Amino acid sequence: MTRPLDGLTILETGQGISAAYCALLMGALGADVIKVEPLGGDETRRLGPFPEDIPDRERSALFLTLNRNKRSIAIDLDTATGQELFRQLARHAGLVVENHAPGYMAARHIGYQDLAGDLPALVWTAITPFGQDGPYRDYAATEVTLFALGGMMNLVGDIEREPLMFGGRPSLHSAGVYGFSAAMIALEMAETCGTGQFVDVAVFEGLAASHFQALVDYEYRGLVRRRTEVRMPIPTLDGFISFTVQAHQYQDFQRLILGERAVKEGQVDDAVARDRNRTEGEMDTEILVWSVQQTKYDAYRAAQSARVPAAFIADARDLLGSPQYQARDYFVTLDHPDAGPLIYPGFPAKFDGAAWEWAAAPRLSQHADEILLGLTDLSADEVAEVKAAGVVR
Amino acid sequence: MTDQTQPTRVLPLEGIRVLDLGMFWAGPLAGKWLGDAGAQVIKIESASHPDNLRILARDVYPAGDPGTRPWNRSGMINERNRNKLGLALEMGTAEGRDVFRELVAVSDVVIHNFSTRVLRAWGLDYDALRTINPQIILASIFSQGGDGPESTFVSFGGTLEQLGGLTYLSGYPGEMPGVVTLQLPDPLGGAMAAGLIVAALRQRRLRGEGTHIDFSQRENVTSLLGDVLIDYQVNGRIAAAQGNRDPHMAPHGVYRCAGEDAWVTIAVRDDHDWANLCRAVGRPELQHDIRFATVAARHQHHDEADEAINAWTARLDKQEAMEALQRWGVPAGAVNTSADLYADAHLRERAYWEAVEDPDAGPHLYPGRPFRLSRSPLSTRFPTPMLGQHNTFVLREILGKTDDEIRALVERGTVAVEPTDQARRGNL
Repeated sequence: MTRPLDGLTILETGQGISAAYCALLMGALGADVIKVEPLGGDETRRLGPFPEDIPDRERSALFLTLNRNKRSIAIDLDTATGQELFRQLARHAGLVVENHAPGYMAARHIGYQDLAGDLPALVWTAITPFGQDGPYRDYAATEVTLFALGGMMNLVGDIEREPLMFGGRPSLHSAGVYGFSAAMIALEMAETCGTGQFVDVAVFEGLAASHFQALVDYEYRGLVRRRTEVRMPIPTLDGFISFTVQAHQYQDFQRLILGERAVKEGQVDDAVARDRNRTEGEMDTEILVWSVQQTKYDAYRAAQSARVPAAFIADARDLLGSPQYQARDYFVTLDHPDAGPLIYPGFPAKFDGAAWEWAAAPRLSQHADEILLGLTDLSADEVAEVKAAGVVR
Repeated sequence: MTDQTQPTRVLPLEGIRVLDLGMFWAGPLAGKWLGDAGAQVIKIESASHPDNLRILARDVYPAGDPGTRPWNRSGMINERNRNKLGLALEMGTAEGRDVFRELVAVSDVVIHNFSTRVLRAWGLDYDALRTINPQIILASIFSQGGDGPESTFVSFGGTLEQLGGLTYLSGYPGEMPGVVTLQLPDPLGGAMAAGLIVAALRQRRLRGEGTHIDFSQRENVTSLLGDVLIDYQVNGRIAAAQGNRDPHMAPHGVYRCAGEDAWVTIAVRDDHDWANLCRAVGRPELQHDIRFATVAARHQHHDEADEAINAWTARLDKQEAMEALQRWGVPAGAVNTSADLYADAHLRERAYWEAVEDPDAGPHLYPGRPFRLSRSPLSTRFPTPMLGQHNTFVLREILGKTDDEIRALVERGTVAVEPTDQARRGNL
């Protein structure tokens, strides 16, 4: 199968999650991703979680997840030689993806402006917390501070208590996804009319672009949305489920919970009761009687089979055991020389139903030799020299 | 004259035509990003089935007033359908589907976020579409994917968070996993789908034919959780909600500021940040306090560190607290409301908001976009269409229909500009 990004070489440099996730998506689609790491390795190599909680830069679950389908070379970009090597690698790249602080690459003479003169079709995607300009440009930031600033945290949690973060590092991951889409858009132009460009992606603005209703609620009618109350989930034998029943589904919902009783007691046809009971509210006891006799998965499946929108709150074990994910071959098992065989999330889309190819994440600078010999002017002797000099690991 | 091999253009997706059948959020968002990038996006709805958000608008009308044509006045619809043409085409009729097939023949992309049943029931699944046009790219933004035992189940953003594993990781620590929602799957899915579609355009250039993108929004959120899945596999640990704490940083959390429901977040990444925080809050002696000497010690004495920080933040406005910490290089961010965002100096200076005048909703400021292209200035070139606003344009200019043919389509209700009575009552 011809993969969407076959023949595209990508240079990724930076630290952490946003740029790595962006390039991960591209590597899955067939691009050759070269990850330029600092000599000490990407910071996620130190974050874990690790097997038995023993730190090991080759066994960080976070790094292993984010850096599949990539080749690694560790280069000291603070040296002139390292900068020259980056420049030479960029000649082969259609796309640079980086998340260094604004000005970091330019200070090393390997910024977009330094390279674009010779590489007019190059697309350069920079993902930063606040973008390349503006008063917050140089502010220090992490997942939680961005999540707060972007207006999301204000909406999560109980209004009587403090606002909450959300799982999955939504700020940094969503910036990676916006970077992916923007880079694809710019690349389409570069490859069809030869015009490359700089793509400035801001995590903060990604969050401000991801509100369901809160922004227009304020702009249209001056309503400032805040947290509401936390809805209690419904217990089952082994965990929790929830319903999202809309008015027109209320009859189905009653029939699900009450069975034949619903018909006998005439509740199904009682329009007044239906309006009053738009949510499960007054049926709490009946719902419990129904729910605690079964597993969360069975309850979810029974509800959905009766056309009642329901979900169960899945934990890591549930995800790995999901019949839906198994039927779609979503997960992939990859063997890594240090971490062993592990199950990873796959790619969330299929093109023409075909499976994607995956390779485990690289060891630190695992591909230095082949990258330097294949894509730079260095001879084998010179490769040995730059490694001996500590410019390349 | 334009050089055919190297056409010049300003917007990256000029010349690409997209048929956007999207409803609610994820589908329309994918179309929005493509329209922003210059594609000609035709938003296809119908009188009997307008985009649900035209009807279930949750009172998001200018000044709360639905006006005479509420279906064109919701902020929910107008925020995510800019840069699109509006066609209201009755897909439930054979004639409507014939018009749709004519459009497929001259288009590049079809987007939908219907359930797995809808296109099949219309006889418009991918096999049917590619018989009409082998170049067509069909982007199916499914809840769970096009196949599998749960593929027909009904889902929303909130339920996909639960099914995808995000909700279990969110909440107050040590408590039952309350159902907190972020509605992340939709914006994340819309952005992802846009990127996948453009990647499919590249694949089409390479191999000369289109593709079917079978996209699962549930999988799209589980894809963020590889570390959590591995932690379970290697350590047997089921990661759960940690509130606002972080395994690698301490102190880390949200702190109450002066004012009602006012908070600032602070993340101390390392000892250096801690020393700077101590100075910023006027407690320089704490940087030498053995209780806080290392990240492990700060984890152990997190509550005491929080107490010291809270004593300081409680006296300050959240913006002041953030700025004071940022002067020392400590990551801090105010917990912004929508009102704060609209007033935010950074977003204003970066011209993030866009003033757009919608025909039935008037002038408003809308969120811009999280990416800027140095050579392709993206903007809202035209506002969200009113229902069926461009029926005639699409039929005449794109499909070459005569005035008589168009009149006949209008008379038979195949195209329309107002929702049916049933639709207005919310029966969609």
